[in-house]
Amino acid sequence: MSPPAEQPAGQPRSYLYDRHSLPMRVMHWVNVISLTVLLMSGLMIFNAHPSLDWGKSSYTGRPSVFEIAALRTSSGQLIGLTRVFGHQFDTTGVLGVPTGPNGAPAIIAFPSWITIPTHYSLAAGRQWHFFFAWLVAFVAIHVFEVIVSGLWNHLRSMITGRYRITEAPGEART
Amino acid sequence: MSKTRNRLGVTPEALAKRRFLTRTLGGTGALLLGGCDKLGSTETFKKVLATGESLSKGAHHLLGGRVSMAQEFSPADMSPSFRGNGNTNPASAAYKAMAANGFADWKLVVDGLVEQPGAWSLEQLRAMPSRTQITRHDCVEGWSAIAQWTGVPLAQLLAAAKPKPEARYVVFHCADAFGSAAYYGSIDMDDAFHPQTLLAYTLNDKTLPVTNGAPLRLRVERQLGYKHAKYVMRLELVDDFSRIGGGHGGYWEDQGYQWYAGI
Repeated sequence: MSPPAEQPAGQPRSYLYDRHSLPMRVMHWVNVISLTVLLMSGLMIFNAHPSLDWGKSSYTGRPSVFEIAALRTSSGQLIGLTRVFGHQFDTTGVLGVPTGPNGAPAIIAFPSWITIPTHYSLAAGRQWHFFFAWLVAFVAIHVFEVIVSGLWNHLRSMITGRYRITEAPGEART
Repeated sequence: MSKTRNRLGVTPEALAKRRFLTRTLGGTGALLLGGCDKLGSTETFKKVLATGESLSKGAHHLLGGRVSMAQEFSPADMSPSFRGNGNTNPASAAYKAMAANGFADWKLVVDGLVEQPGAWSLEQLRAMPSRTQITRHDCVEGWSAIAQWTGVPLAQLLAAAKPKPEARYVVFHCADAFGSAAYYGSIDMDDAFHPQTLLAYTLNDKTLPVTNGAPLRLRVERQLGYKHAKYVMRLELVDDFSRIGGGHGGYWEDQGYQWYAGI
């Protein structure tokens, strides 16, 4: 889009131009929604077995890489624990034993306000997760768009920040 | 002022701050999540989400082929014990009586869309050609365990029972139940005739224990754990499972889990 022809001298000019094409905007927003849903439904799936193990199976004798647990002290107090590479942190109120929507402690790894769905349902979490995982597969279309709309120019601008604009002859560069 | 800390050194002030942060974030999230929950409970949106399952199944068949093999492991990889999950001791009096008798009176019934319906005793199944494999059991929850299984390939038994051409699924009727809902499951003919699909009677060189599905359980190695029916009593060949149980092809499928649980 070319700038308006008449310019009052000395005035800053402002105009709108087509920065992002419609397919690009659609793809980006699909990705924003999909990655958010993938993260949140993924945390629901993680809640079913809140432990990440290293090796060929979960029972290799090695400690978990990452684990969220709840334990009850001898005095009856609930404590949420998060273990990362053998280091243990008290995460009561957030992880392991988060504060539930009613203000009471809940026994679950990730709290309900960050999972899809908010109530515990591994089955529903998986349905959300795998559907939106397929939407992310549309990244192939996005890559295709990048290629057809000038691969090297895009790649250069992603790395150096400089994007080449080629103007038609006679179009003034101001 | 002395601060009281709990066992792990967190002060009440820190706990209060966490509570505040949690609630602020929680308040914002609740609005969006409330929408997701509402959306997720509508039948139309459930159907939309379920298309992911069909895409996964199609992609698996396309990339892996129908007879791709599940990974097999060496004895060194075996887990120290094989966890029992779900039902670990069927409650019915009939099952308990059979277990008390070492399953001497147990017979596997094969019926439905077959030319040769029949019943096989444990002894007869053990006399058939067997297969031994060390495989990993991947639970839908996220844990896994490696164990060695011996059993009769389901293909052997089906060869004897001769499925009719219209048979599309093998339904496994089991002795265990969740409340009043009997456990059952189903697989398609690709998985039924897969060389690693076994009716296993041996776990880690020992007679299959009750915890893990005695006297006979399914091993369908390319799928998640909930497809591996335990305490199998009867195989029914069908062309459609919509009239069985809740109509979705298995106990867990009736609870909303995917019928296709390929790994």
